[in-house]
Amino acid sequence: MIELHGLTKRYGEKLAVDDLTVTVRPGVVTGFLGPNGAGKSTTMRMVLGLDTPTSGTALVGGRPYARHAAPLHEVGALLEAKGVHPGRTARNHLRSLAATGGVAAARVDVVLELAGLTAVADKRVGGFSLGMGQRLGVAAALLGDPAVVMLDEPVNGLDPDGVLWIRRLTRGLAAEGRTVFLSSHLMSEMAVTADHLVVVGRGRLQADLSTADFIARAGHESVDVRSPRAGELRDLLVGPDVTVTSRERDRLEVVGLPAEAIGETAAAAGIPLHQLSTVRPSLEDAFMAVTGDTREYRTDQEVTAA
Amino acid sequence: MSTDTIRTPPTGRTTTGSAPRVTAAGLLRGEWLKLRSLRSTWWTLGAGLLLMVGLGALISGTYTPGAQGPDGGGAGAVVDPVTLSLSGSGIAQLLVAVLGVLVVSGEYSSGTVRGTFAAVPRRWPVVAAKAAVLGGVLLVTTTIAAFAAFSLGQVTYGSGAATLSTDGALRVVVGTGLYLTGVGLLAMAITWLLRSTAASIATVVVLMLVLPAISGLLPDSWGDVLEKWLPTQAGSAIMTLVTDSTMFSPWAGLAVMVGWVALLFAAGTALLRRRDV
Repeated sequence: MIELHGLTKRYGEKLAVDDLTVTVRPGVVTGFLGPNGAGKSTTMRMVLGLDTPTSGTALVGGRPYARHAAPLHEVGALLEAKGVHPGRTARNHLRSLAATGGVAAARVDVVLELAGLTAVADKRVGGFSLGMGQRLGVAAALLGDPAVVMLDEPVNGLDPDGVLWIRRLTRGLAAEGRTVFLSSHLMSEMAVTADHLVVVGRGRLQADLSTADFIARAGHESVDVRSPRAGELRDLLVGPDVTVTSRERDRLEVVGLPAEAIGETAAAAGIPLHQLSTVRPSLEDAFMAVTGDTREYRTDQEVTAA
Repeated sequence: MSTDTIRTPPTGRTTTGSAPRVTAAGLLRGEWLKLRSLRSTWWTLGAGLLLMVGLGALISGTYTPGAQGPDGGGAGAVVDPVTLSLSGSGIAQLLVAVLGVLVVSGEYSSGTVRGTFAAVPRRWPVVAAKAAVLGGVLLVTTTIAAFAAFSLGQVTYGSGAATLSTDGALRVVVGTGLYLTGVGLLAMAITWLLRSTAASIATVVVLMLVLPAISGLLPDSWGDVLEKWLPTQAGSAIMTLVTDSTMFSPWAGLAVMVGWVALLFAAGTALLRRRDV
């Protein structure tokens, strides 16, 4: 369990994190979503006591992280930076971290295996790909067998295999009753991995809701229909819960009816269809709707368009 | 990933057994592992100590009594076989200082420091453990190198060579190890304050080489004080066979150097506890 109360971090004039109050519950995967520069990494560093909040508190398991007798057993974290000396082997990195944190040396082999790094354990980290570096970071996070697993952009640089691995691993960790808190700027990835979403923009909380609710906010599913007799079809489709809009003469956008029903109606009336496709709301659209204009970095073009 | 791993995640949170706990022994073991698992440690230290022994032997062997001293000093320079055999320590101190910097700055530049301080939120025990490990390694290795340089230097010096029972010789040899250990710790303390490799090495060089060199250009009253009290100037008294009135006595000089190191460590630790990582 992570509890943030009015957490604020100010760097000079800039509020990196602005009055963030959120509870991250155990047993589910919580996605921490926001554009780059939204304050996600800063928030995670404050949870670990690495950065001191300007005001507010961050509690882990009911108390500040630094007050725990066994910090690595409380929170295991992968922070954005690779965080490993390039001249050290993966095994030596983990062994030294284990010794420093008072973790049994036997855990090193367990987490190496878990991260799929056993074969390269004695290679120096400088030669690792970004994906292998991420795997090592995850291995380090799990070293202390922590109650809370906090990963900053874990899928960054991972190949599809690695992305799948992270997804299964984090779901497994949550199923074991741990608190899993993952940050990402990739909506599509969070939609399939996280059960719950905490969305931030410009350091401020934008939304704190279940992934299902978030997706529902993106809008309704619609069906894109093209037919030379679009006008006739339209009259057959409209009903109390169905809305049909038309932007082109031979094209309809139908909300409220599944594609199957539309196809059958058209077939029954002998109306030819040139296209019948379901359009799912874009998660990116939902993300944009929630974060609004809070993105830190935009191209001039976007600003002009906005 | 096999499906077995997914079905029964081996991450299973242990309910039995003891929770990890930060201990002094663990911290020391962790720092020792970090130090010895980097090739740069052995290159830097090895190069420094080999140069120290090699140069000492070379300079002792090529020295002709009555000619100019090794540092270009004229007839007034005190040149004795003890000092000659240990003259490589001037080079060794630079490499030892670089090692002291790298042990700390390497954590910052690689980001390892976040993991380290996440494991030890109180932070100061890490400072203490790093100092203890580096100090221990330097004390052992530089003392061995000092004895080696002395012994080999006496062999190459030939007739008139000193022995350890020569007045002050043992103190100078042991003192060389102590001094070099002090230099490594001084550089380490400075790096806790400055964090970056470049800034720390530059500062150490200014402190060890530039300031002593320009102290002669300052007005006498300032220059004399500076020359006497600078950490490495004061500390080097322990390696000087015959100290003069402008210097501290050997052990007092070493105490001044230790004072500097302690002060810088205290400042670095105080800053570290308040600063964001």
